[in-house]
Amino acid sequence: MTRPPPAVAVLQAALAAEHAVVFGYGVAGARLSGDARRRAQRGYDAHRARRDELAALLVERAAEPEPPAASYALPRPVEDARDAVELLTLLEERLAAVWADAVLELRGDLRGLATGGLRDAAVAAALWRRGSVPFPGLAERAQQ
Amino acid sequence: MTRRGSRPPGRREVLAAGAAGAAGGALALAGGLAGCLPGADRSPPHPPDPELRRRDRVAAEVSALAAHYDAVVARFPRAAAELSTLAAEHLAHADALRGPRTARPSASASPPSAPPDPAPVPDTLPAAVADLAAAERTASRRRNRQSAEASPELARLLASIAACEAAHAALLDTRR
Repeated sequence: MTRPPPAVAVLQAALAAEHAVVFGYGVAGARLSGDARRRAQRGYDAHRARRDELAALLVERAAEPEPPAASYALPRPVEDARDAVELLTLLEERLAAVWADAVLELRGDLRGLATGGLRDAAVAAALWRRGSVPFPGLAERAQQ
Repeated sequence: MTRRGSRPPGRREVLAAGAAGAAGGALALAGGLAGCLPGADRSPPHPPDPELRRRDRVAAEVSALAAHYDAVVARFPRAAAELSTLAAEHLAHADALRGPRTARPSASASPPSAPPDPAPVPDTLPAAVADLAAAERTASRRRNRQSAEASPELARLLASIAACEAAHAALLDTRR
């Protein structure tokens, strides 16, 4: 009876992931300049918008949106532009996996939200990495 | 007090939350991701027939997209290295959709339809690449619509393919 409905848990997981990505863009953006910095700014704005959309959907469902953590552990220090691009590639790849799992759990419009989140994360990852992967978000099909 | 403690076990994390007060606020180094999903193959063992037909139909569309790349590469061989890697990903999509051949008793009864003749290739490489990008975008939107109607497992695969197609379009745009 106290368990939240499945959609709420999935939306909270996506929100937690978007919080982390917003944090990462803040860290990485400071190390970028020129076109990359502008792209990072657009990414930051897009993820904040998605985060706010998720929070609103949770409130609609009478759930309290999960707040961001006070800080996050980065996989490695971000000291220059190259580190920043690597971090953003990794974050978008991990976010793609979160959204891919959300597709599995959601129906109707919410599934559409998840496919959109997966698509946007895959596009951003491809642009940061300057290359494609065949199955974004599907860890079990990741190439060796 | 840390956010991690309140999360369900096994939940995927993009970044691990830092421990409060860690090393004067410095970001701790940690691999934050539960990287692998349990189970290598998430396809159901015996998908219902309509699902098989749906997979075949999408696989034919995906193969047609690969054929579009082949036509452009035939016309502009200098673009082969770059475009062939993208075309190969579409072939991987078709393989994933069709699955192992041995598990397909109805394969001979309903062979996948032959892809339609690709549209004529424009006279310049930039125009041909623009056509490819447009075809990828159309395919991506279509794949997302197909995802809406599919079973959860197939929906996840279709959404990933749609994401790949959208990423191809974005990468093609950057080379123009």
